[in-house]
Amino acid sequence: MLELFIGGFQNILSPWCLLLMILGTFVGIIFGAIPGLSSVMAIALFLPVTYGMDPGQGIAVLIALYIGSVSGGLISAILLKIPGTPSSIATCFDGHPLVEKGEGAKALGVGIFFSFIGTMISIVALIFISPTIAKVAIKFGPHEFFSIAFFSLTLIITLSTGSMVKGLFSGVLGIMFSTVGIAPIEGVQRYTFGTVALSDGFNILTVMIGLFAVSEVIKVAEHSKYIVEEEVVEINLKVKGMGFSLKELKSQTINAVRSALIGLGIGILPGIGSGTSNLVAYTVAKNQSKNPEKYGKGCIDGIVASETSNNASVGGALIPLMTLGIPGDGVTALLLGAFMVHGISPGPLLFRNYGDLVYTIFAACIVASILMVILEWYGLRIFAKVLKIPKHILLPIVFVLCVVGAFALSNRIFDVFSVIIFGIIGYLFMKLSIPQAPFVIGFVLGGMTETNFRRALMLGDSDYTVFLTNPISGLFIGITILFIGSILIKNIKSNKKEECSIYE
Amino acid sequence: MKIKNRSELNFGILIWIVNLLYLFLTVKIKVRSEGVSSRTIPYILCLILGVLGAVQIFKGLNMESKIIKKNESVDKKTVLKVSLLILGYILIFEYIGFLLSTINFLFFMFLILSPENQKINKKRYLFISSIISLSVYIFFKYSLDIMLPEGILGGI
Repeated sequence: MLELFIGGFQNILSPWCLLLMILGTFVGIIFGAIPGLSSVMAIALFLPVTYGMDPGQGIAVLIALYIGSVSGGLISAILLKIPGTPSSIATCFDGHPLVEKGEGAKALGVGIFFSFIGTMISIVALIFISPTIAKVAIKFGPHEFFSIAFFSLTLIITLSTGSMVKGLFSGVLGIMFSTVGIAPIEGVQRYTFGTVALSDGFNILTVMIGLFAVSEVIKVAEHSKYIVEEEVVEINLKVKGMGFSLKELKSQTINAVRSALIGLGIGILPGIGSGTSNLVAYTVAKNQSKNPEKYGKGCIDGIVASETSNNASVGGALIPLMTLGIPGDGVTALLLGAFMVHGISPGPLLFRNYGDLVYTIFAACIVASILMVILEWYGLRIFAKVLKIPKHILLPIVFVLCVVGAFALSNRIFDVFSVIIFGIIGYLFMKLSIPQAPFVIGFVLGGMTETNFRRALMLGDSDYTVFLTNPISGLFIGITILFIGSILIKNIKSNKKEECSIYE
Repeated sequence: MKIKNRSELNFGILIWIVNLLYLFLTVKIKVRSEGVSSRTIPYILCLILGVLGAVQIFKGLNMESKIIKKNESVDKKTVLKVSLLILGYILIFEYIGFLLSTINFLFFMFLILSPENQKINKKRYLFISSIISLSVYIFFKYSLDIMLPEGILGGI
């Protein structure tokens, strides 16, 4: 293990890779900090840069972007009172009040430091948990993979925010798009209209860029004419250390550990991640606090809970991706695409066949966290200035870079057209309040679910009971049924309550 | 009086339209095996969507619509302009080439998206769009060995 770790560090500490990781973390923080730009855009933008790199180094750069962008949201949450990403919503609650009290440097210092702590705890969990899961998962056959993928699909769809029907529709539509191309097992063409380009189906990267980047540009157009630039608060950063005392640090130990565990657990679950964990951790911290009335008025406990948990979700989200090949959210779906661009399929075999790559990724997570804390603290003045760049200049540039990234995938205009199609779908989703995440996960897991379903039936002579008689598969199917049942009961109850309140 | 919830109802109808279209295309798939085939999963998806559509339509018919006045006004004209510009950019991207099409695209995007209360500086916009396009082109061509469409400027 130690040898693999040393090899991993050697791989990413080469000057070129380290330089790109620094740049990646920096750009990631910027994308996290600017409301409207996202981790997905940052990774999509940088992906072409990694095409020519060694897979380990390429993924390391993308990990740096990921970690930077999750943490970067705290800057605008504290300075503008607008979260840069959904991961930092709860950071606003206490971050900005602290700024108003004249303790902006403390708010930023606490946020950055505990982002680092959260990431490190989740990386330790990733390093110790994932090889164990991979060892078990390596024995899995198509039955188990089918039921796990099926379980993940239902979890994602039902956990998605808003209407359950809309979440389900989004997920099913994603699976439908995954059926375009050559069908597994039989090899027949489906929904290709006789075109060669559609035979390979749609690339995950074009789906992501379209859904998240193009739709955002169109959305900005809705109000761009009337945008009033937000005022960035000036903060005096000439403080001792990171603006907080050792006593304050010690007082946050339990809060930080609890929030990290919440973030980690939520990160592992497919469908929900840092966007949810920061709110859950904040609520739990407030409920457990002896002084809950202080929350929302500028107490560091709220920032600690939010920032520790959202960054802890990073390591959590990487666990199912690396061990089972199942992405938990949009960013990990894009990382899955990045693995595939480099000819590697994440899953249990990754640990057996590409041990060096796995430890390079672990090393990259550690280095990226350190880079994040250094760059974010010492580069605060630059990031505050970047927040002032007008969106009508920034977004078209990001759009062009995303289009170039899609084109560079295989030098064909078809991918660029796909980006536009998914951009229109993404925009329509926004207008109809349909969640986008279930679509992405449905698209990614759809193929995996169908392939394993067909394989399992072939092995079991078309006997459907094999999914229930196989212990692990049966367990996941059972959990899925229980889960769907409980969600349905909850929905019916809440609908009845709603009806009662209307007639009262 | 009960008023049908139009948006919920329309969404249910939309689900059914998508479903019918997918079902129509699924029937056309030429399968090689009997029983479980390449049509099986698509049929299951059609079934799920059918049920979802029915639930949504039922919900729409039985739910009272809440009259919510939205404060935010959507600038439809700008949305249309941006959408057309994006479409135009993609259409000419390969033929005119990356450089020219991107300079034009960025320049017009800056113009269209500029807030009303800001003074438009065309020279500045042209400078930014040219510098960005040229930098991306050079970076991709010479650093990453990725060729972007040269179009009518081919060879320059």
